[in-house]
Amino acid sequence: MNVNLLFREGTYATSRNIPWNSKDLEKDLDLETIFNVMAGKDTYVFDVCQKTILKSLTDRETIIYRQDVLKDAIDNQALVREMYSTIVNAVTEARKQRFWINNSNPEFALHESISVLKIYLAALEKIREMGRAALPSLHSEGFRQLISMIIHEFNQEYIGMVSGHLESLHFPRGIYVRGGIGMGNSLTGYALVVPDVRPDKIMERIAHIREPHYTYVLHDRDENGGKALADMRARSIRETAEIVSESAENVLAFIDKLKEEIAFYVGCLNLWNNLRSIGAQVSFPVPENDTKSGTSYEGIYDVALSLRVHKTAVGNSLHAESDSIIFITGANKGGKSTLLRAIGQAQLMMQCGMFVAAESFSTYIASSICTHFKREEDSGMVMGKFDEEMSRLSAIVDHIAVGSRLFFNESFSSTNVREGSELAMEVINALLAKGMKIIFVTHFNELAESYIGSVHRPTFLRAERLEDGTRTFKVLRADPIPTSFGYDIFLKVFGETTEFEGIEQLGNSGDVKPP
Amino acid sequence: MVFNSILWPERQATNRREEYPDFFVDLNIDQIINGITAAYGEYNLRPIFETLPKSIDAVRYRQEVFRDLQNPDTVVFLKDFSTRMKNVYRRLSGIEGLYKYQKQGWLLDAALLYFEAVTDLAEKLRHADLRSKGLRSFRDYIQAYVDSSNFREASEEGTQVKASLSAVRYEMSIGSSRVTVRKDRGRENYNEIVREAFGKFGANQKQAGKIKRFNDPSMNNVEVSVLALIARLFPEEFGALVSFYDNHQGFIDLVVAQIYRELQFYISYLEYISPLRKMGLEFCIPEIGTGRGIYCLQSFDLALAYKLSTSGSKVIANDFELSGDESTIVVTGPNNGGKTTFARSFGQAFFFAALGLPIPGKEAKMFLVDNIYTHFEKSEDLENLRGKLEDDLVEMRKILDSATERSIIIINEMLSSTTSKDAIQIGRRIIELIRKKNSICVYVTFLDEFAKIHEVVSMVSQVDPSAPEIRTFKVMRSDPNGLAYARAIAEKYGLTYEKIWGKIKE
Repeated sequence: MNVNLLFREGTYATSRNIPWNSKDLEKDLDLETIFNVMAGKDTYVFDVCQKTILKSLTDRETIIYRQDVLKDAIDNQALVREMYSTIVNAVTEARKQRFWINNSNPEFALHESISVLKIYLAALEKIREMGRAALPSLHSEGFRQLISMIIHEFNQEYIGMVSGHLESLHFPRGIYVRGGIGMGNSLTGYALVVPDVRPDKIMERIAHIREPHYTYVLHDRDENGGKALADMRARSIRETAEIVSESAENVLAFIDKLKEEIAFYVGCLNLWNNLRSIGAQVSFPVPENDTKSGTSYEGIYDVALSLRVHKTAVGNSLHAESDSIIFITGANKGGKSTLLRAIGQAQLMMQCGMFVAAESFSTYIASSICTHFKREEDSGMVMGKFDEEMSRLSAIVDHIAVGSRLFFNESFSSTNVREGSELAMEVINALLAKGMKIIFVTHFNELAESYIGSVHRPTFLRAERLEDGTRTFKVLRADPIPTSFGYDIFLKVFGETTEFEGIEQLGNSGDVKPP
Repeated sequence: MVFNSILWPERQATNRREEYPDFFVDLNIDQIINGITAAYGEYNLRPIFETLPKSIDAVRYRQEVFRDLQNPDTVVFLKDFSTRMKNVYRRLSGIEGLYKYQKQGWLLDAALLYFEAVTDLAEKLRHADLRSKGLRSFRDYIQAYVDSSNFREASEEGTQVKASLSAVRYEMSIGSSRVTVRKDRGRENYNEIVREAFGKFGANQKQAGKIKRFNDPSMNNVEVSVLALIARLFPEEFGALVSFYDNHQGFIDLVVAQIYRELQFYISYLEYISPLRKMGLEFCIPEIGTGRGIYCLQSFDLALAYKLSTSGSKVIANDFELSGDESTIVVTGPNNGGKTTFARSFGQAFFFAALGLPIPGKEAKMFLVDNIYTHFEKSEDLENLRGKLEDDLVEMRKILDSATERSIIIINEMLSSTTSKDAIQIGRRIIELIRKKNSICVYVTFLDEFAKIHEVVSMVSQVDPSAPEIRTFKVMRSDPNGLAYARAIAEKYGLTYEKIWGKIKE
């Protein structure tokens, strides 16, 4: 019995673990703000959404599968929320039955499992009926299959049969077992056999008494003997208790899985409603398998920022056929980081099957998503700032595989422009050569500039600043503002006659581009 | 001569010390012995590992056994025998306090296991290709024992008694204050019926095999009383048990018990080094004599190797050799370059060789040491430097007073509490004194000057010449080089084009 709202039957094995860099992703992309809105006040929904969003999908088919389920959820909000609350109530009720009981005692465990099973079965019956009513308005494969499965597996007849057995497992006439002699002459076996019924006929009763048998009777106040006897009864029904409690656990596992998968969609609904209420645009993105399909977006904005200020934000647009490396340069506080975060959020949300905060969004499916943002100096850190930056970058290099997308924000800026740019180029070139995709926010214009005309076909964006200094928070296609005028000035001052060795030395140091 | 040991060719007065010598801790030998004996607590093996044989004969007696144990089949059946013997003792432990039929049942089960273990061992020994005096004598002893009529008769009787007890079947009904037993009436298994009913819930069916049958052989007081009732239902079966018990209480042979313990000395060591061998590290049985001129190829620190094996890291092995007139090795080189590790592996090689054990290395020649002395820098009490220097020198003096030409002295960074100039002067004198004693000495130091002393063998922990920040942990004969070792930050994190290229997975 599988739920299959997050994965199509049989594809679950492809799900991933929480990525190693989830803490960085959360911090750099301001994800907690998003999770909080998704959660409402429900910490369980928070946890599920956090987990599901961070465990990015890498196959297009599953992304589309979830998009379809989510579209159904948006059109049937009442059903989704009712299913969720029915499950939550049942689990709460079942927990009440459990918490004071000592689970190591099979007699208690058996009784506990029986009562817990009854609660779960009642909840499943309720879900079965609401699902049956909603079935005509459900269109996604995920939802239709789930509801049909519940209707089939938990039909009335079956639930009635199981309930009957639950009643008869109280052993009203005592416990009968078969045994043998084992190691050290211990009593072994304790195999439960069909219990005695009181013989009806006199002749049978006599035969019964006549069989040779011996009885051991406890003294009235023999407490130890009482415990020993309880222990023997416990041993006799241990296997029975395991069978029944395992059944209860299996049903619970199904209920838990159902709760978890529904909770994700409950979170999505909360975010959807919240964004719609402030008038923000949302849309379902178009994920692409082809790494050459480029990156396009219209009206993209930072979800977390909009949620914080309860206002729609300035949206940015781009159609880039080539997105191996995108440099974002330009004015300070001009919206560079905001755009980087917006794209990062959209990429993550797309890869967990959600809608995105944009009028449209399309890009390739990254094999993994990493962020490397400049950090404020951490007082607890023993390492120097540059050391710290490099160690994080090194960890990223250790983890990524071909086809990852990396979001850099002012990386290498804790050293000076020249060294930082040189080192950054080496790293970027190696990453690009290995088929990574990079979006790089930097105020090192000369770093971006050095890629003009590069074989990697970079896309350049620049945060706009008007003549009078006003920032529009639009980040548009524009080459970085040139900086390498040093050699020009040199030539201008010294003329062409200057000795060549001197120029070459400067050129090799990376300070001035060689002629 | 009566056979009674696979450790000692003849009775030897033991010279075990009351407390560990310093070198146990300094060379991490205590760690190694703890590791070896960790799972063998009940055999009290520590005294064996702490007693160095005085005669070469004893060392060779053990080396021969280890040579026989190079055949894995032999190790397998000796381990199997040990496991069974362990269980025999486990079954016998604490039975005195038990109720009649229970106690007798345990003795019977222990005896059956013992008979079987010894019979199988005799059979295995008969077919094994044994060369060592120790194991051959053991084989002859066991064969005679198993062939004796006492042994054969006891074994047959026990088997019969057990068979009839095992055939007993009864039915027990358990109420809230009474238990009734009768002979089994063959009723249907109720759990199968319940399982069938709940089968539809999914994983039940395949979980069925997982549920353990209740098998704990301890009994509560009600069960003990019920056992007495069962004995009344089956009088013949239980009568035979009583008579077996009365006739066979002391069924374990004393020599068998003794050899069983001594085998653990061999087995525990082989077990300890087995994961290292699987990693490709080599062990050898060294040629052992009295002459100088010693060497070991591919030696390594056993304690470190064991630690690294758990994390899967690579172990670096080193060679050492001292020809006839060489006696002092001075080890210099960068910090954390493997100097101390080298010194430890050197000392360990002599220690384990003297115990008759295979030592880390591919091939080796050792002599039998009379003692190992170590002087390792302790990091604590740096406040009183003057006092510390004095303590160090007093300690050194003691070592020099008792060391002989069959001793090993290992010194690790001794004179760091004084100025270089003083240290060089004092150190030279000490090396001179050791050379006069003609003890074998390994001296680890950061002072290159010592390595330049005439007739001293200089060994240096090596660095990769093209990348001086990388330690190779190789220690080789060469002149001291006094290099400086800087590292670049980006290099350190592997953030160069080539390294990134190499690291990223396709």
